[in-house]
Amino acid sequence: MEPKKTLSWTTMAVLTATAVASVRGLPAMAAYGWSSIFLYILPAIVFMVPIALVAAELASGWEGGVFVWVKEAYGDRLGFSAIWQQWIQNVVWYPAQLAFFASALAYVFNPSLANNGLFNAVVILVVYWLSTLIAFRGTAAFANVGSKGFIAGTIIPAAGLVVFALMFLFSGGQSQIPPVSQASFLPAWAGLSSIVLIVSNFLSYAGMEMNAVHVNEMDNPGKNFPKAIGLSTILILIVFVVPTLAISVAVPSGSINLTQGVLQAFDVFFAQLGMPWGTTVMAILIVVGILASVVTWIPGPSKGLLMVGKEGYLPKWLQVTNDQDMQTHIMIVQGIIVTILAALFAFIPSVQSVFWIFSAMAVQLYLIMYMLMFLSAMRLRKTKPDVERGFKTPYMRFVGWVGLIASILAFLIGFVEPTGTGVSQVSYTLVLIVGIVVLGVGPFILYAIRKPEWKTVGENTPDANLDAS
Amino acid sequence: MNDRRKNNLPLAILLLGTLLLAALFLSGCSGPTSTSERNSPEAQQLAQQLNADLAAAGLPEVPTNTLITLYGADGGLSCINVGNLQHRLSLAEFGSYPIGRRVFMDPKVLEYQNAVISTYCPDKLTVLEDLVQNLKTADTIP
Repeated sequence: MEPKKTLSWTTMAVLTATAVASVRGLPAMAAYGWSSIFLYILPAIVFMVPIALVAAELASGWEGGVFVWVKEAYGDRLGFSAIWQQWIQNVVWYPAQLAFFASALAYVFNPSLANNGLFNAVVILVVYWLSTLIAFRGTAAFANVGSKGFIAGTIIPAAGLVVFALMFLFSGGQSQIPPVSQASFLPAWAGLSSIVLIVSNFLSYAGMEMNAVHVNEMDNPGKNFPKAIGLSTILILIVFVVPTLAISVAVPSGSINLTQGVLQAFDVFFAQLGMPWGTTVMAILIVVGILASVVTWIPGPSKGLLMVGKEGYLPKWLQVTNDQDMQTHIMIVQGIIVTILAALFAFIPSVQSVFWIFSAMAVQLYLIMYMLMFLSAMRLRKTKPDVERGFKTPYMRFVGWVGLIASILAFLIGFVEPTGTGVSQVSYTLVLIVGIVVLGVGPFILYAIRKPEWKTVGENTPDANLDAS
Repeated sequence: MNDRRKNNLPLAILLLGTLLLAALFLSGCSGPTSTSERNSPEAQQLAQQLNADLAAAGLPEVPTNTLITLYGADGGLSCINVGNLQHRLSLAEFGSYPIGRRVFMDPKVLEYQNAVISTYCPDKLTVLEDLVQNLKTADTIP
């Protein structure tokens, strides 16, 4: 059945920005003051722009996202691996993202709740499964919630940071950021640790390619997806750069309180302006923005897995869709995994302490996906030059190699042990390698045990809820 | 399709509106610390003490009003969160967008945290020290 064309290019642009940009990460960058601009712009040039250009070309030539792109270039097995890598990183992301949701929500009622395991577990699970139910209702539903939620929960707070920073200054507030004439636009150089800092910020833009899996629901995707990517690039930079500086206005560099986050800056602005209730309003909006990001991610990689399933690499039970063509069973399995992770994360302090390592493993897999994506784009120019592409990346070899080298560098830097918490460099490297293998081996096992009857592409797939039509 | 969109939007608005009303009702339309507590003589005295500690540590002073807003008389979230889930999460996300890659902590950030906890909730200082004592640091903030 031909999917309905429900996504305009502007909605696709907003959904892409929703997947990537959030105010959650701004305070961590605000500690760097003016040099945060460098930490945003350099990764944007060497990582975001190549991803945007390459994803635009691939999506304009082949519908289906990362699985299809890599499959076309290197075959089914690597295509399956690529989408699996995107999916697994996303699954690991949910507990931490929703813990931030919990902290913003707790701010409204009782900030100490943010550390309560039960509160976090309940919030994570309620919000996650609510988002899944929204995704079940189809593209129009999650696109509606995602796009409106991004505007309400990310654009408005980001714009609010800038506006209220200006009002703070004009009302006599003392800026904590030096004037431009005295600014340091580069981070302090500290050798390897500076390289770790700069390269790790490449990941600020991870996720640009994710929504390409929905291009078949756009009208004329060859022309409109590249436009969407272009607009989303602008939106993402708008959310990141200036609002980060606005936080620096309120909070001295190096004094960013790690646990109060973006609401700390709002507290300072609104106290100066005599509007203490303003932070409560912003906290509510931020909560909406986080919901929008979760709603946007849930149906993305899982749809890629549905395509994998239909090609014969997942059991038929996992290929079940509802009358909105949504991959309900895959999303249910995804939800069960997130539920287990969330419970462990919320209740066990030792899990909280090491969750970042688990996350680092998943990120390494995601970077492998990016390497495959760049390689696929360059290969397809040679092997399938006659496939019509609505957009062609200028200087593909150069752009592709810049993106590939950036991904490889980020991958290699990922093995540098950053904490010193008693784990030796060798042990950390081995733990990461084992984790990467364990998390990444799934597609190869499933590929090996696949059965011919699993292949349903081109057939009618049994639906859980048959539409009367 | 239009009917489905209409069905989604009222539900979303209803959820958002309910959340907002509940939040405003329960919070009493004020921040987590009342203005009178924040401007108490104790809050002012502690802010001055913190600035003295920051100066002694070679860190820049922070406007007293900002410190009073952030920490009041009891340290606010900084003391509530020490050693807890949100603290661990934020330590893991310093200097890097929260998609999971940890970077080296700048020592100025830890020194600042130390000064805040020492001033407002010194009974939690050992918890903080246990959490951060082995962290690798590097001067990356200019």
